[in-house]
Amino acid sequence: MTLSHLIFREITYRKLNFALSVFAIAVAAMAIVASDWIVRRDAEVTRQIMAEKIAETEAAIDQKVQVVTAAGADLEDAMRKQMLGLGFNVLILPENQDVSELHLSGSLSQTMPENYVTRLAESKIMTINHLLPTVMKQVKWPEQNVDVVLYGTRGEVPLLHRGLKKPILDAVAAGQMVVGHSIHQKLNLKVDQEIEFMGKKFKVSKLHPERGSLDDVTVWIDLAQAQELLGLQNLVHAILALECECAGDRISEVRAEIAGILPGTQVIERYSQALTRAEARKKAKQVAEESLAAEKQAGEATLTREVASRSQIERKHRQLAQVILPLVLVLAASAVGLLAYLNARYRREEIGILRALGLRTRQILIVFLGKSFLSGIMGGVVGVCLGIATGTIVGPLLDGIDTSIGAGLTQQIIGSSGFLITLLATPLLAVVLSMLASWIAAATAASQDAAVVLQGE
Amino acid sequence: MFMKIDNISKTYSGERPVRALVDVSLEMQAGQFIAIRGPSGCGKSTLLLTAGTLLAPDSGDVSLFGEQPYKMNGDERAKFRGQHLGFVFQQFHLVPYLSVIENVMAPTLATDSATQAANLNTARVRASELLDRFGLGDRAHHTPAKLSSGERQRCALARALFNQPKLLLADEPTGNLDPDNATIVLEAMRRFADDGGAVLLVTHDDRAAAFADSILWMNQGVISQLEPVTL
Repeated sequence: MTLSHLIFREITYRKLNFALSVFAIAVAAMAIVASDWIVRRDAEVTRQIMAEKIAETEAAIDQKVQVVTAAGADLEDAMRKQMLGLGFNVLILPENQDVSELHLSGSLSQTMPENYVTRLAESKIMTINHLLPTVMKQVKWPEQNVDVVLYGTRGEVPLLHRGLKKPILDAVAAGQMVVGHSIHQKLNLKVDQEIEFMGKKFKVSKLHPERGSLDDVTVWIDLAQAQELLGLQNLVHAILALECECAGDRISEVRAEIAGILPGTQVIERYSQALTRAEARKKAKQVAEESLAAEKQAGEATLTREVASRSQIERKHRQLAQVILPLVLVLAASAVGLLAYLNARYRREEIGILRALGLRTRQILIVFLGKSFLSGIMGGVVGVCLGIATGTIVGPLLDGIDTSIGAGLTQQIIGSSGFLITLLATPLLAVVLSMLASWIAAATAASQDAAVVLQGE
Repeated sequence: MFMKIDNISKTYSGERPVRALVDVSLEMQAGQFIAIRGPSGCGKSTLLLTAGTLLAPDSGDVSLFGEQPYKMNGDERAKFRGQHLGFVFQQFHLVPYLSVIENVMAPTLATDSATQAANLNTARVRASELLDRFGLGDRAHHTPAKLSSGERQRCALARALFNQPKLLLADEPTGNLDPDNATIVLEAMRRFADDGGAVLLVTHDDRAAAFADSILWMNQGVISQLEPVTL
């Protein structure tokens, strides 16, 4: 006979007492595990919801960014195309130049120093973008007996304080000529064809398609060659520029800024429809940008609301656990203590005779606490299983999160190290709870006076 | 000298204190069988329990086999009790959830766990022998609830003898038994004394007293007479 044998025999003899103790401990362990499960589930659900919301928001923002980027690109492209089609929209002319001459003939007669363009390029001017010094004059192409507008250009002069930008009009190399549509049609010119113009040899480098403007009767050559042909060395008729893409009526600002740099000049604006279109594009981009900002703001607001909502749910669950858990533990401990006390009462006679047979206090304690240990470990293990089941079932009911979000939660919660500790610690805690609750009854039994019992019987 | 009780007194406190033993002295030798008799409440059981190291006297000395158990601490006294004393009670006090053979082996519980495990087979053989001796061989695996009163008391007696005690203390062991079973139990106790043990028996039963060597009469906590049994 061993004490463990005695314990097992007593358990099988008084099954109900043991089963009730196991049940009480299991309920306590279940409460611990289920509470922990629900709290961890809350955190995991929050994490998943936040991840989904963040992904949704980021996707929406990405979409908006693409729209804005596309709108920006559209704007830039449109501006470029329009400028290519319509030419520069700002002309800087000598102050004494009659503008009507330009409108009537596309030709200019007054000049200004070529280094004006350098002065502009070296200035901090903000209201214009591209600078193109040029001479332009209606001349007779003597070899072909055709009137043309001669355009001399050396290509764009970069503004030194800005980053290099792709020129909207390429320079024409010396000895080459770009020919407008009407002219090359009339003269049946071909690319790479050698021609003579005002006594100079040129090679046709490019033939423009029809533009329906003065460009159709224009030929472009290198500025220096044009200056030489026209006898205008180091002089230019105009500096063409592109007004910045800023919306609104800014020509007065352009004029004011240029006047400060190049006194004795005048500024005129051409092709205002280009600006109108650019403005529309600008507006579209602005709307897209505002939409992006609104989307970001809405995303952040949604996330903030979701965080607050989840925090409230988590706090509520934690508070619930903080109230229920101690209550359940106290009730379970009381139940176990009461059952142990009743058990000890039932066994007074048995304890008396065991004492008479020579069992020591420690051995009597082992008889009772051994049983408590077993009920604790069994209740703990059963409670852990019940706790997981309860958490799995009750969790979704508490927060109303559908199973699609909850899918995989079980594995994630069980896999977390914190919950693993709970799973391992709970049976130990259950054992401690059971033994502590039974301690008084066990100690009372162990200190029982055998003589009183045996005499009383 | 197996037992020497010297001027012990015992009073049960309460609203009306009861003087259960008053300056009682008693000696027992090996092979002696003493029956204690007297009216109810005269202190018979108190004397038995005090002799059995279960109830400390208020004053006086108790010496068993040359040792003074009441000067030992509780655990030492329990160990001493398990080694040297055997008890039989009127109510049998069998452990209800243990089988008959397990009840007989119950004194092994008082030993340490290593000894319990090591001597398990020896204990089982010893218990079986005792059960056979008391006619309970075929009841070894029954629970006490399935036994008759006589069988239960024989089982209790087998348990009392399991550890081969020197002193057997019996409190009304035949009180609930029919004459045949009472005779079996009393003969066993007589045989125990004859084999060199000592028996202290509390009884109201004239037949039981007849198995003793002497009868100790008590009245109001005092030994009034110690007379030899004459057949």
